[in-house]
Amino acid sequence: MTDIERVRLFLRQVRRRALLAFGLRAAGFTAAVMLSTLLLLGLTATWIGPSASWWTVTILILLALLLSGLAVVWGLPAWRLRSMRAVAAFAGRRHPALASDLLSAIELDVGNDNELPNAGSLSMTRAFFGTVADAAAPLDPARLLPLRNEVWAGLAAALATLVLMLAAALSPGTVGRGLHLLVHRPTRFEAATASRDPLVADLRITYQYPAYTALAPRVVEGSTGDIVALRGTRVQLEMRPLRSTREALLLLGESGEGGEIPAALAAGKLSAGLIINEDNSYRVWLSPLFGRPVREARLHRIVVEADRPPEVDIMAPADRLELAAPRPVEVGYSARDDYGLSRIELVYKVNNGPEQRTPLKDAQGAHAVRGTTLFEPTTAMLTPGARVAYHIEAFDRDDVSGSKMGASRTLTLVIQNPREALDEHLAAEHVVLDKLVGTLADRIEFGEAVSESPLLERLWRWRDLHEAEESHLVLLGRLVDEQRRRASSSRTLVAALGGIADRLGRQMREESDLLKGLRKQADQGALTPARLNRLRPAGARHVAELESAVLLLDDLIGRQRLDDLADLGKELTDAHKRLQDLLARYQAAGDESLRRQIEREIRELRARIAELARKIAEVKARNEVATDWMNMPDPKKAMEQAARLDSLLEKGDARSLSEALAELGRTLAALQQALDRNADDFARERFPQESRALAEAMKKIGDLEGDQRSLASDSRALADGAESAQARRMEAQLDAFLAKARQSLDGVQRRIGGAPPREAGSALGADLERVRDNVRQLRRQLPAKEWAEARKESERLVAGLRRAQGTLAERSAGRPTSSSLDSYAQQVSEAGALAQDLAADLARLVPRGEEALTPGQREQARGMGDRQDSIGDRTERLAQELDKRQGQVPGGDVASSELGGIAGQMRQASKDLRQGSAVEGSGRAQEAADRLAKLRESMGQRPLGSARSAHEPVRIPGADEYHAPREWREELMEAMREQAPEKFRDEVRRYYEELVR
Amino acid sequence: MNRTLSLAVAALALAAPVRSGAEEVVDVGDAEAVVRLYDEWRFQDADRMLRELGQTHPGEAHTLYAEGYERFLSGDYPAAVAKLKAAGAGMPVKELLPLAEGAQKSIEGHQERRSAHFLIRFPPEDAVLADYALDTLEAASSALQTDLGFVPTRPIPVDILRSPSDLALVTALTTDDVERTGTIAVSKWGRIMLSTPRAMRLGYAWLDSLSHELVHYAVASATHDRAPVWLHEGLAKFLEHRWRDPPGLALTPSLQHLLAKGLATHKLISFDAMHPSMAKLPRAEDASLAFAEVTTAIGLLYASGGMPALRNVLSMIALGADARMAVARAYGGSGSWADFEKAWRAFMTAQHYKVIPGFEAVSPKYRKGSAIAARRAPVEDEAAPERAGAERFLRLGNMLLQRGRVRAASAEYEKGSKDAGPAYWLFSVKLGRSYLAMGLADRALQAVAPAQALYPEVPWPHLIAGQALLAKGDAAGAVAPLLASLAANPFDPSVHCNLAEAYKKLPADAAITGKRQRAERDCRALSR
Repeated sequence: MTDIERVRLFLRQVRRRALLAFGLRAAGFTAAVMLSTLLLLGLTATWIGPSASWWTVTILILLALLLSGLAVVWGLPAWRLRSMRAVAAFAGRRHPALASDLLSAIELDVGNDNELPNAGSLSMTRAFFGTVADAAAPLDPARLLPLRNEVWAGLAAALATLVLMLAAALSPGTVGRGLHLLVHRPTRFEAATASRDPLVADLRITYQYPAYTALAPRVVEGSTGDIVALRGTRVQLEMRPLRSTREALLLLGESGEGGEIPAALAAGKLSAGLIINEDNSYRVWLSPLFGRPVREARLHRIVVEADRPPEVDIMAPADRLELAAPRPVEVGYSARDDYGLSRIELVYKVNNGPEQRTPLKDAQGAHAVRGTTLFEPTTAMLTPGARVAYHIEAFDRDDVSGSKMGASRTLTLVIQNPREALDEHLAAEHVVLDKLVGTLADRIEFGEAVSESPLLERLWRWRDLHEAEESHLVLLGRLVDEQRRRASSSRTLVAALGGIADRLGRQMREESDLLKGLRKQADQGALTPARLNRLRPAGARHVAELESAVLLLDDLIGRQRLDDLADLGKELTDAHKRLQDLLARYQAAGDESLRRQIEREIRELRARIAELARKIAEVKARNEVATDWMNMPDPKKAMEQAARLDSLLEKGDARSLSEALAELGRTLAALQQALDRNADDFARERFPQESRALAEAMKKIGDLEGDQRSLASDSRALADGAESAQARRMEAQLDAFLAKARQSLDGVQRRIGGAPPREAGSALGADLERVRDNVRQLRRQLPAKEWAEARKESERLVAGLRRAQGTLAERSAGRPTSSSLDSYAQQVSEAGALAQDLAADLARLVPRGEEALTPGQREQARGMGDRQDSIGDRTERLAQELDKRQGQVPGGDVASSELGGIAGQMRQASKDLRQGSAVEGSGRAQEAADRLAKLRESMGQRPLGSARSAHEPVRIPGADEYHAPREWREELMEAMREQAPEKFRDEVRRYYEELVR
Repeated sequence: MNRTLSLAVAALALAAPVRSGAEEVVDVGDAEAVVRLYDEWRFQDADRMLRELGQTHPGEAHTLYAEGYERFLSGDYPAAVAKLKAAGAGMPVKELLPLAEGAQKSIEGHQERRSAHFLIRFPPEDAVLADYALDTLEAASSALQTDLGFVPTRPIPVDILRSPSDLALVTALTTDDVERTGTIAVSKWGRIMLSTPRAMRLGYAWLDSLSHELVHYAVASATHDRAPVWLHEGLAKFLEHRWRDPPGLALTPSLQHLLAKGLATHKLISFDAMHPSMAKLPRAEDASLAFAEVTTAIGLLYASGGMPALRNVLSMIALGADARMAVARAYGGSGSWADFEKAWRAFMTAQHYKVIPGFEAVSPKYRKGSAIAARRAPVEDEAAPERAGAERFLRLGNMLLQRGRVRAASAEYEKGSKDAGPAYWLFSVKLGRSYLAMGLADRALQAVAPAQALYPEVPWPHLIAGQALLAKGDAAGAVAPLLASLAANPFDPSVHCNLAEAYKKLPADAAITGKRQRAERDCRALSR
């Protein structure tokens, strides 16, 4: 390296150092200025508010500052040092001792090919270069250019940063927000100026409700802008802007975050539409032709109105209903919904099985529905002990949010396990029996053993016996109470148990009095053997009573047990019949589900046979009945035969299965027969009086039935005769009459077919509904030639139309009426005239009651009425007799009540016959005969205490009023026509309607 | 030899009552002679002739018929049915075949056991009967050999039947006849058929009955079945206890009472009324009286001439003599029936039988169908008194006894006993049981002693007596009443258990050990 190159190197190093120093200085000061500017800008933004331009402004200013800073503080000095001479001068200024030499060296360095200025000597020049190089060599550029000033620049930048940060931290609402505004792009909401003054006027809101509500569109004029509507409602807003407007929007949400809905501007009006889906709010935003957009400062609420789920009520005979056997249960229900109901279902679950649904009604949008149904769950699933939880569910028609369901409370139906209940009850009876036998033994042994004991000891012993028996009687009393509470208990059993308790109670009271007296005497020391012996005769009577009690109780237990076994035997044969039916169906259809059902039935049958075997074994083991009735059949064979069925079904050997089933049927029939005979023999021998009384009652009912059947047959013949004479009379005119009647009915229907005008009121609608029903009935009855019924129906039609006319007249009285009301009144009046014609024709053709009969037939009918009265008297007397003998005749209580009902029916039949209504009379007479037959059969069946058949529904108490007779309904409605004071009229109508519903 | 005989079935009916109802004439061919021999109980001759027939006319209808009849008599019912069916409708099988089929059905599922002369078939649940029955029959057979010279020539089938309907099925009687008259056993067609004591309300003297029927068998054999019913029954009744006792007239108190009553009221059953069967008499009591009468007639004969007189009568009848004449001759004297009858009445009067006040004769009575179907052992309570008062005390006593209140129970039984009268045996039994439970063996013996004496055919007084004697330590004395109880109702396990206990206490020898083992076995089997 030459000397001059060493000089140049030194100068380059100086330049580098100088550039660094300039850069640091530029960075520090530029940053300080930029940060300060940022602070100022932030404060300015806070003051001015959000703007979309803040970001740009900020960036431009900062960029300008940055570039200026770099250019001025770094670029310019650096540019100045662009030549070696300038660097030499710069270095010379920093080290004056070398200033001239350095500058000279640079100026003298002209290269080898050029001449030195002033013709200088090359060698001298080189030597000079050496001198300068040597002089510069010890110089350190870093020392030559220390960075003291640059530290200040850094401090300035740090200070600016600190100030900015402190300001932002200490004043976030001002500095912080300002800084945020500098970088944040504002929404329309933010960008708009909030106006406290209204921006729009004449706000009109139109609501289009969802179709399922069936509500008409609603218009709200001069609205505040708040919207309240059902979900799914389409809302149209129309308004007049109060400012010049280039663009308009509805900003949804508190600050426009919910989106925006453009509002169309036309003819100086803004309009916007939206669909309500959730609670929300909105503001009107307007953009003027010039200037900043404005928005409403106050928001308008959007409220979604609730569509409530239906409300459902349920009513049944009891919330928790226990039934001895599956029976239909009457269930009442009512459902309401604010916008209309769709389907209503009864939902039930047997035990923990799957939920099952029974459709009850499709309300088709009605707001309120009520009704009753007979709930009859699948009986196959209702085994004893089954628990059915059921409720009503009603659904609304909301197709926007989805159909909502309302459910009633859940009620429970429990199928009693009669055997379980009986077992429990018999166990309780056994306990009482054992205790009473124990007491009897104690008393007998006491009488023998302690006659020689000291007086006081005998007295205390006697008292102990008395107290022990008292506690047993309490148990017996509880047993009687339990039996009384059970609906299925036999009255005879209750009476027998109650009788035991009463008789023993009397003995106890007598003994108690004696004991009290003797104790007093003992306390006074006056107890003597003679006085104590007064207990003896009472004791003997007591023992005799106890003996009777234990024997009767033993018999009662035996009878219940044998009846239970006989019932079980009957169930087995019934189950076998079901199995046979199923097998026949399975063989015909080959349905797999039938096969599974057969398997279930076989399992059930086996379980029942096993139960029977167990019970027979228990009866024998407990000696529950005397030897004569211990001879019960062995169900082992039936069990073996039933066990074979499974394997045959598995093999699919239909023929063998049928044979095996038939064989099992024979065995089961023999079993049932043997068990029945056993139970019957027992009842005959041990309860001869009851058996005799039952036989006597059945005979009397049989006699009544025979007489009633004979009367029913005679009256039927009379009715047939009258009817055929009537038919002959009508034959000639029949076709013409029917054609005319059809025309009349068509005319009536046409005139009342349309909907009455609204101003006619709701009562008219009900009247007309009944009239339409009358027309329907007549259309059926006339071709069927049910003349008597048709005549009555035509009279009802006339009355109904008359009522409708009255209602219309009332409505138009004292007030101006519309032409549609007048026209409708005219139509009803015409319909009334047609109906009257029809009724008159029918009255001419169909003579009433007695008029339809010949004098001879009238005489006959009266005679039959007399006969019917006589049978009715006998029936009533028998009912009274059985009522008096409750507890003595098995099933007598139920029979008495049924006979009372039958007697009533007989009275009605008699009345019909006397009035010449032979058809009605004979029908009622026949029905009474059938009821007698049914009663007789039911009395002959076991168990004697339960009279209701498994098919008779359990009614809701008081629910019979739901089915008021048609005539009575009509009469009541007629009575209702009596004028009530105007202001109470609606209430009175509702009262009557409620009565006859 | 090919003989074809046309026989009126009416004629055959004399020998074989089974055919008595038919009127058609049927050609039974060479079978007639064979059948007649069988019907005359000449089994050896008949067997020989049948073998010959089989060789000369093998497989022919009349041969098959005769073979079927022989199988029927031998008790091989399936073979009989097969042969009779093979013989075809041309043979008189119309009534015989249902009988063979009925017999086959009546012993379906039965078990069998054999002894030297007998083949007994019995329902499995009645297995306890077999050994005792065979012992009794062999003993009776041995006694009859001594008395009448009877020796069985072929194994005698003995069928134990479950119910009166089964008995009716194998006899010409109806179920109603069987039940009404209390017919419990029949000896007919070369075999003995007997209702199980399980089917009777109180059991019955079944071992004596077996012996009784064997006497019939012997008499029929000895007379070629020519003896009239009254003679049959008289001999059978007179000799029925020979398996256990020496010969002699031994009427039960029940028969004595009936006879005394009959004599006192002059209402005896005539010999003619006893024909064709005592089972056809209108009441069970009449049948019992008839038995008493004919037994005393034989008793008179025996008293005058001993066993030879009886054998003599049988021989004369076998030779074709009239039974009355044979009896009168064997009796001696003038040899006229009138004299015999006079002597017989005097004999009966001379026995000084007494009418027992309040005595209610125990006549065999079948249990209810359900009881038979249930196959339970007879129990004393099935004889509950019909008097309401007595029945009340009986039930109360039973209820108390079941609950362990023995003293109170005995008080009730005592009341019942007073109400029913001393002759009513059930209260004696109940009282005996109560006293035994209270440890009062002597009182128990006293309680049952009258019942034992008056009603020897009732098993429970004997059982209580045996138990009481056993309780007193008199094992030897207990055996007899226990066996007497067993002879009426062998299904009560306590009889066998007590017997086993008694035998255990007796000096052991081979016979006692055997009896003990049998009693122990039956005690176990019946207690299960």
